[in-house]
Amino acid sequence: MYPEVSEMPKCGSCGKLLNVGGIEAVRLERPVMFCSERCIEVFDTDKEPKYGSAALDGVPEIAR
Amino acid sequence: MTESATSPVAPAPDDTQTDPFLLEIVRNHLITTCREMGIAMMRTSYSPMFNEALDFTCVLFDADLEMIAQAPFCPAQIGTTVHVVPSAVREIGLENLDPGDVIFTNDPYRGDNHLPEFCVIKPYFHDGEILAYSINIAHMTDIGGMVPAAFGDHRNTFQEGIRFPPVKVYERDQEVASIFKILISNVRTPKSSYGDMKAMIGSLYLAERRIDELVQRHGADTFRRYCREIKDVSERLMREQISRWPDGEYEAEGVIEDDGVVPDRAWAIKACLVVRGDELIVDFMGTDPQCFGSANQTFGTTASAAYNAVLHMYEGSIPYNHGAYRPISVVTQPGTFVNVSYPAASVGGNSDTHPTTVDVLLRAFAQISDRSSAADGGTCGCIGFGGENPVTGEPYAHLHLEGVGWGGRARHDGNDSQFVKNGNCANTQVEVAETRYPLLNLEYQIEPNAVGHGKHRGGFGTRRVFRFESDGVNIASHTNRHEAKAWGLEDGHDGTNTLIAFRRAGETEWVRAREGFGKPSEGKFSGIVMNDGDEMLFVTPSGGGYGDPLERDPDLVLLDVREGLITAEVARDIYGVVLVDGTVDVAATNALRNGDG
Repeated sequence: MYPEVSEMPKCGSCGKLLNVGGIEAVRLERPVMFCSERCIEVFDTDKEPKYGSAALDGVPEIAR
Repeated sequence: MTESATSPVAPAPDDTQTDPFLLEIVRNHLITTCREMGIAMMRTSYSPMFNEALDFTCVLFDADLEMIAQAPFCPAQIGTTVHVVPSAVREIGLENLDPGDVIFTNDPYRGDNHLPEFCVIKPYFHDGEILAYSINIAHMTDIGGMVPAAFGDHRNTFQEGIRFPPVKVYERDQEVASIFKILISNVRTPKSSYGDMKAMIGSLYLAERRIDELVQRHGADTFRRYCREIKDVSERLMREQISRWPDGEYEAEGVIEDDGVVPDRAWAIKACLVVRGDELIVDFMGTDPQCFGSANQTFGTTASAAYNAVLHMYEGSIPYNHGAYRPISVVTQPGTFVNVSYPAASVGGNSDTHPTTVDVLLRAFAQISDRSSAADGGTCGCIGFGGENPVTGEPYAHLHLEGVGWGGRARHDGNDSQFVKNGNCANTQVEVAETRYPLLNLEYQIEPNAVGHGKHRGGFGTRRVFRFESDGVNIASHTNRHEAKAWGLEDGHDGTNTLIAFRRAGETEWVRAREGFGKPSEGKFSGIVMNDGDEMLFVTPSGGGYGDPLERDPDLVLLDVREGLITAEVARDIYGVVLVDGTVDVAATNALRNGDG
């Protein structure tokens, strides 16, 4: 069975669907996928400081 | 947004290996290739969406899966390629690509704009290695689904039409018959859909030949190195531009008036520009959740809107390629109006939410740049007509596109009756529509006396009256600004609204979708059926004005009166310009503007 897009992760910063690839990192005490080092930097310096835990609202849990 | 062939491209000062003349030759060869792809599309495609409206985009990527060249066709699609192309190629897998393969996808959740945007990608191989990709994204008129031509009041992606994840549509120069069979079995217009797909793929083959000419002439290593340099130049120029804007955070907001499902419920787009040195974050956090209709934007569409807005603000000329996008980051929350999640609908988001998203960003940019503008009419005027052609007996689907008034700017009036700035398509031509479909255009003109007034006024919208020439014409629409108006800037007035209304043969009164047909929205609906002799009125919105109307040059006010765009009463009451015997009464005008009149 091929995965539908609803089963794929999204970047914790830009919110883009990651149908392939990505960088896993732990943020807000949970594993999060990011599409690039730049998006991790934006998350750490802007999104998370500004929005706190809401920074990951809508970002799906990584399926393991 | 057009790119000058004489853009001030300079080589990196510390890179003595780069020949600036060769750099320009390579860069312009690639841009010309994209333009030639577009001309091939125009000459070989079947549907008016391609050969008249030019709703397509031709771009080239290098082996790093980054854009190296594009031609100025549809900006909304150009920005999206940055996301959908790498996504599609990597999902297929580089190891699975062979010469003569073509990848196809239209998946909005994987980075595309929306389902009608068909994307085909062809790798160019040299000595067994991929050196580049040619790409064509084009708006396929019909994609199956519940309404002809895709635009309406869908609730989910399944109602919108057929969706293809990345698949091979050509393998080693041969059609993958099963893909074509699935496609033509699921659309109302199999012949033109097949022909249009072949036109798209034909443009990829043309591009491949042109890239090969370049590589044969200068070598693969030079090609790779100059592709990198082309992008690096644009990145440097964009970083210099961002550095000229003051560090800070600049917020703005706008709304889409409804989603076609829930009456009288507006959907907010919130944006914050974060300028930090030579980098820019375009942050959409706080935007409303995804709506119930199809006004949602995909991530690709939102990112493209961000790139478009920044490029509109660029002071000067910059080669448009991946390098220009590198300093720009986008932040969204999945499941919102600007990053729709499966299986919510999104067809209307690319046409009618995208322009407002660009305008929201320009509103934020107005705080730091005088290149910004008041809001545009903000709708592509997407109205779908479908039924059985009485001449051929075959089903047809026609997507009507219409221009709107653009917003006034610091130094210019808004453009009149022009397709939204992110679309760059042509208004539907009277002759083409009448030749191909069972309808007549009884009226087509600029709509006078309806505009956002200002020192630089908004542009005017259009007025059309259609008469249908067959029974059972099924009409669906996804249009905006029936309630929310294009906003003015710097004391400019707001623009005016869209109007769609219908009149049965022999009747005199026009009725709108809510009152006459029980629809939840005046602009986003489906299933209105017109018959032979029935008529439809379509007035598109004007743009907002920029600056105080009392500061408008009186001679420009006089010109608008002479051309029948505004009345002498409006000239006096709003612009403070007194006209006597067809000329400006300077003394009376000065007195009126100074409050002495």
